[in-house]
Amino acid sequence: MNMETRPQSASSRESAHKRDTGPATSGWVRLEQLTALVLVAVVVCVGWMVTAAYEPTWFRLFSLDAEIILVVAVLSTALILVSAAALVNTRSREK
Amino acid sequence: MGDDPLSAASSNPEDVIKEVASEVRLNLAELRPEERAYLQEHALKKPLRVLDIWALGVGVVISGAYFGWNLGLRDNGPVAMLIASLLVCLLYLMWVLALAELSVAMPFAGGPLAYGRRTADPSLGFVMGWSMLLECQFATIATALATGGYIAFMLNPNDPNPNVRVCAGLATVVLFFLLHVWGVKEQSRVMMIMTYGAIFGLVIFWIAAASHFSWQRVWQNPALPSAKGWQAVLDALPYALWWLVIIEAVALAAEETHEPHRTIPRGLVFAQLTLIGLVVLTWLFACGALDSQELAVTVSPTGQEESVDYPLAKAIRSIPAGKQSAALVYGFVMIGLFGLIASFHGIMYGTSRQIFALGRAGYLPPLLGEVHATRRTPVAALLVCSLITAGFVVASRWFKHAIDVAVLVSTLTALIWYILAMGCLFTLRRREPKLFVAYRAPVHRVLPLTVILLSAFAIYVYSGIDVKVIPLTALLYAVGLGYYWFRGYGQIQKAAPEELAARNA
Repeated sequence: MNMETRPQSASSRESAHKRDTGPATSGWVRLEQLTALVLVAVVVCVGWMVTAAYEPTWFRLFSLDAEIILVVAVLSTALILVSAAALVNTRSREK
Repeated sequence: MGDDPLSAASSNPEDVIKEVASEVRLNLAELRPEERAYLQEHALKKPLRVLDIWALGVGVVISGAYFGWNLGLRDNGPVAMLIASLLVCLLYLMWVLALAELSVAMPFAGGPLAYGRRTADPSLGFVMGWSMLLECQFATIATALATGGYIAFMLNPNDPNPNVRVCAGLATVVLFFLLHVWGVKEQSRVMMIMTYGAIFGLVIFWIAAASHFSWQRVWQNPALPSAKGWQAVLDALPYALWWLVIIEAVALAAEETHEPHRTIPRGLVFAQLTLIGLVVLTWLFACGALDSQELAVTVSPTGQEESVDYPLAKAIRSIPAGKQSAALVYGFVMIGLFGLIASFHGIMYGTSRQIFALGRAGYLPPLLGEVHATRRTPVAALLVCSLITAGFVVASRWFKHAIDVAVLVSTLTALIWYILAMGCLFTLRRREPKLFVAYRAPVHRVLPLTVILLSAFAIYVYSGIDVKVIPLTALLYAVGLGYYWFRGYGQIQKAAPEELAARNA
């Protein structure tokens, strides 16, 4: 249990690095990149919502219903992707 | 869940000291005799596993489905509440992942105190610890009030008696004080049973509400109130936070968790995903069964509008199935109480552990950091938490907006420390990367940055809502910081785990 206080060998450092970076597959990297992209879209959505709340005539995109569906779709996609990334990350550690 | 040789071994104080030393990455030989003695006196047991963490996470938050969120429907409608709720679900899913990283790196009962202490200095540690203490304490108060409200509704659905509500709230406080003094493993078992009961209660609600479901009530025309437009989403957001606030209390259990690097992330992620399902289904069926304004407010016999603190019970009673069958109404309220009691139990756990950690480290009076000689439970911290809650329950007899204020102060103080915690995560990742070897959250930088942006956005909307809680929150911070600067700063206990970890930074 006290291994962190002792000098680490090259192999233990390598194993620690592997644990640190999670599942190192191209699929995992793509999932993380896609999730990051959708999270940026969420932040843009929130910024747009604040603008639409205070200046209802600015930057209106479609009908109100279409705007709501778009916002709900972005938020739901972000939820699904973050959940998937969290589960994959947890499962890889379990192995 | 069951006691096994490992957990039995972990109940030995010497083994617990070894595990604490390992968690703060110190060799046992580096501990001074007085520090060993201090840890032996103040260490907690480590019996919690993944299922316990899942039950703690779901149980502590599930009351959010039973009351509180419905107040955001008032003048905003179901669609605004849905968008606000999805934002909150996303915020909390990301938050628990980032929190798991901090919690595994520093598995101490102090949680935010340890993060702030290690990142900067005792002042940041205190501000973060105090924020979480306020969050948990006000959530305890709100849940005690709602538990009383549900019991009063059960006894007289037409006109719930305020005195009954106060007495039932007080009885809940006393009962759970005694249970917590008894011990954490026993609590964990009770928590699991109550969590299953609470989920079962929600399933009954969904089935009953589905019998009177209407899409026109969910998706009204227009979908957002024409007078408010997108402003309705902003106004609903502070109440939507109540769906999931306090899940971070689980991070305080890290010190009592076996193998926290494995147990905490798995337990937290599973709990959060369960809760997101409960949020969406409860919103859908509640708003589909009863008009959203009726879920939020009720008119008292004197003609005054009052906040509804038993929305699901009210919905069940208003639908044809509930009107025909009193057994359905009473049965649901009885089971629904499991949800409130499960949360009360978990939130009280969080509050008492935070008081305990601040007392143990000397930031609050050291008496609050004492544990029971044989049961190893923080009795003084539990007593203080219970007395404060009981005081507010009694005060609610005359203060009609007590539950709104408790919900909003709890969520506002939570948001403050979420932002500070993410600052700590960025700083520590850069300064001490080895600290996070055991677990690292996915979507490395974007995830905590999004937590900061969404939390800052949520804090911003508090300035626009009708119930003003910013002055009260500022006063509470002033009281805490006043004590810390004039008294606590000089009493910091160098042998507390949070201080040992900071020394080793």
